[in-house]
Amino acid sequence: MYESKRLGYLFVLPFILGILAFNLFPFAASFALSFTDYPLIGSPTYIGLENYEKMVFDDDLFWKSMTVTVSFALIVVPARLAVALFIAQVLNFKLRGINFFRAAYYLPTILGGSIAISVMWKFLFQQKGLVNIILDTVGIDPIPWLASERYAVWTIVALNTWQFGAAMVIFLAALQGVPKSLYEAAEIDGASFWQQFRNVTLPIITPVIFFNMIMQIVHCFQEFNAPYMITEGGPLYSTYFMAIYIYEEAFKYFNMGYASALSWVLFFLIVSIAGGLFWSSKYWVFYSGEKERAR
Amino acid sequence: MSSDTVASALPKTRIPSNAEVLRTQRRERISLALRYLILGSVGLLMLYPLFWLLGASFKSNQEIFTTIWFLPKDLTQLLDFSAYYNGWMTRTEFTFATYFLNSFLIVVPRVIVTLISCTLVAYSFARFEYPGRKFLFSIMIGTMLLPPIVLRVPQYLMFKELGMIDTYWPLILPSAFAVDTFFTFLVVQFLRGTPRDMEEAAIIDGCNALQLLWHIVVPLLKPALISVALFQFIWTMNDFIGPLIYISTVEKYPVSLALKMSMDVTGEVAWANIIAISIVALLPSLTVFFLAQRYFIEGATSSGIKG
Amino acid sequence: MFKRKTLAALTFTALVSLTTTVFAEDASIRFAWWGNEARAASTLKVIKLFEEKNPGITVKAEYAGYDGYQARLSTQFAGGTEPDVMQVLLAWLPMFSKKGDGFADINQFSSLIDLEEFPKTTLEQVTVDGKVQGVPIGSTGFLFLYNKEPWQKAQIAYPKTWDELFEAAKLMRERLGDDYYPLDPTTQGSILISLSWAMQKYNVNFIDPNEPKVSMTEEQVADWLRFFKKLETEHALVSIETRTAMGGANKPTIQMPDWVEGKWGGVYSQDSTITTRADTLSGGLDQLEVGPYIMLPEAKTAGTMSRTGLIYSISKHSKQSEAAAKFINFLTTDPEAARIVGATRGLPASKTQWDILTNEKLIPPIQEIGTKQIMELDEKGLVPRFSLYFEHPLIYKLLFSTFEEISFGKTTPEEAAPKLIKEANRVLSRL
Repeated sequence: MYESKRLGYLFVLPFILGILAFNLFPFAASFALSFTDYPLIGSPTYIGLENYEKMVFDDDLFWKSMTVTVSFALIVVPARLAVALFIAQVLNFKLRGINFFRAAYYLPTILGGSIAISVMWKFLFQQKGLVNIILDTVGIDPIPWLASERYAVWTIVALNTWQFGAAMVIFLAALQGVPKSLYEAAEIDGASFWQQFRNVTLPIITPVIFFNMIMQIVHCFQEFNAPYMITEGGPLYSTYFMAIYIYEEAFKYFNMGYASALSWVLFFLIVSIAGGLFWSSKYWVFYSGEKERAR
Repeated sequence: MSSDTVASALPKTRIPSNAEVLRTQRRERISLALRYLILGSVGLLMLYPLFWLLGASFKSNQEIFTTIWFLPKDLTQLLDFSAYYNGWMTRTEFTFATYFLNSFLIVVPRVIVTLISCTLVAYSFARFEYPGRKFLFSIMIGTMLLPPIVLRVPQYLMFKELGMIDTYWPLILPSAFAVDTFFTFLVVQFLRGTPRDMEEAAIIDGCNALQLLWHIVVPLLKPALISVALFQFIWTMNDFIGPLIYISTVEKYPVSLALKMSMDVTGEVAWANIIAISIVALLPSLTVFFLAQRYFIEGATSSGIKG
Repeated sequence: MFKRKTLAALTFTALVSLTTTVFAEDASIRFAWWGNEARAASTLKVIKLFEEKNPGITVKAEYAGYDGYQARLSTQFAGGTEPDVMQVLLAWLPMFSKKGDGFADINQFSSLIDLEEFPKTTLEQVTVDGKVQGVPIGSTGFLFLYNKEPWQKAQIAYPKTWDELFEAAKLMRERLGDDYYPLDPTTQGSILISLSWAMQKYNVNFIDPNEPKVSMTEEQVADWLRFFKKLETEHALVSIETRTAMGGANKPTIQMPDWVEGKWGGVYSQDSTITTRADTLSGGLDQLEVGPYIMLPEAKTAGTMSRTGLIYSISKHSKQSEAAAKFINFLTTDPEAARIVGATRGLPASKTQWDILTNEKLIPPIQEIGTKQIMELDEKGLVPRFSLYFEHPLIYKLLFSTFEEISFGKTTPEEAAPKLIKEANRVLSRL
């Protein structure tokens, strides 16, 4: 049955059609547009590599935005994964009320994308907001979170880390799937908690770490709502992520050509990072299905 | 249970000494306390902002701007639901009843077509061998990495040619073709992690492809499909840019757009109204989550994404 | 018996209504605008009235907040699916209709829209290459609007000169505290207030109103930026940095807690939006007063930006352009419409509507005082002309980041001035 190529093609057909119509065609169109000057109102004029040249040699904002986006991803991805894995590890125990905690931690992930949450977040980090009052009680001077070139991005980082629930639930599921016998065996060998985690848990959940990592990276590079609503890309462009830059170029300043070129660079960046991860996954990701078959 | 009872109940055949057992017991209890402490404080940190939001819907503007404690100073204000009423009625010609109905007109069909198309495509990717499969799969991964903003204008022009502007088609149609590749990827990953034994047995019993899919694979996939439905529901409810670009008549606005509009149009003057209606806007997502979370988490745990 | 009669009657009415709809249901137009709640409510009422008076034409309302509006309109433009009637910012004309071919030419509808109603100078502003690109809504100018509470508490009079403003800032801070400021400008205001001073001093605009290039010299621009920095450091304006920490450099004043609590003494406001400024004040409109326009002695211009802000345009793709024109005419010149809309869409530019509002005292007194101030300045020839490009989003972005960097101490006026001129000229040459 599985050898039936015709059935395989039949089932994948909707995807082939969809991807051609809704992704590849528009994608190719935007690639073509990236070599044009296209003011949206009016028609595109071919200008060769000018957009890319301008970006690399003559656009400080592009480099600023790139730096901001990449460093944001470098902070958020590990932070989210670490918190998610840690909490999952804490939860992976015979606990009363585990369902309650799991649901509670997942809640922000459900609500996080909504506009209401962004508005609230802004309140928390204002000069006289909750966060500064808490800092004050432990003797730290208030920090102008939203007005600080250095700290503004941390409000977005915090909001993103707050939404660790999705990754956590997946981790928890993976942790609970680790056969108890393996731990018992390790315990008999006298392995400490940390050693068990390092040598038993981690290898088994590598596919899940990989999955979460890819998802988080993709998410990070497309982060738009929070910086747009909370810091408006500022101050001094310190939260001006690529997604915002592209959006504004396209729909605020009508430079469709330049926006297309920017998106292509962003796309290329994401693809190369993800490609690197996929390549490296051969060395550290371990699928149990393969193991079973090998056995 | 106390350590004494456990200790006294120990059968003699066990080697560990009393002291050793007690130590383990104590260690476990400390571990338990520590876990609750961590969970409790992190939980508070996570949820307090939400309580604050809930409380703010009962406060005056002045109090929202100035207080940290989530309950209003005057607790009788908690009986005053006028912010909810005002928010719901809006000052436009439609109430939120219209907007909720619109949202469901988008969400329900979209979830259904997503489930169908994802299952078919993921089944093909995870279980069949044919030339070009790997290539198609890598295209799928590739599109997952594609910033949606790149496609927006060309897509718009396309839907315009199809005469679908100001309808819900542009929001639903792509999902019918498994273009939400994240979901397909999720189902593929899940399917890869499940054993083939039952399917192989069914094939030997003479099941045809569709029977196999419906009777064996879909039940196996149930937990994954429920999470797909959940995500798609919530993301579609929260989606803002899509409706903003394709839907222009106010009568057809979904909740997200209506919410942003209330926020802008009221000039953010009556905060309690807006917060109240935001809370109401979050309710469908919350309900769906609490109804589905048992399946969702159960599913993820039982046959799970164990890799 | 009775039943049959009712049934017959019902059938009859149904038939009649059916036939009328068949014959009359010939035009449905889309009308898009942005604005606050009051504007939405009153506009919807006008639409209803229009539909009653013009059976057969239905108007579909499409309204949103400002941000989303612009994004959607531009996408619609790209697809040629823009609404039949749309509210447009005059400053968008260079983008949407560079050569006067972006919107339908209103001259085509001279039988339906009475252009005589509008002042010639206003019409000139909306004409590109001889084609009238939209029907103007009243012009608005910037002025100093105060919350009298802190001024009374500190016993300070409203400033008439810049020196008095600095003095007031000092006294207010001494007498009331560090959180008190005479003015909260928002970022746009910071740019405009300091520009107002620079124009009073040098009698030259930043961008030449006649051709798209910077007309100030490097020294003049540096002086402008230095003055802005001085306004901030001497506590005359709430600084951009302070506002950012409080939740947004561009957040409207009325949403700022310190304004609600009466710590900020005033705003630099357009006269058309005066009434909205009282929305979050406990004392309402009574708490606001228009102050004298702050001037340098012997200045030849006040430097206030006064122009037609909004226009109504008709899509060139509209299949119902005549119904659209009828609707615009109703909205901008009908007496009934004026009574409903009042000042919520800015002050009307048409003679009929203006007379209705003034004769029937439909304009709140403070609104009238503000508008009169701008008119008086205009009569004395103190209102300068501004280039349309000054409000182009790209120029605004440039100005905003320059002012932000100066406010945060990232750059000095001397460093920023040549860069600003160079970049602005580059942007202008491309437009």
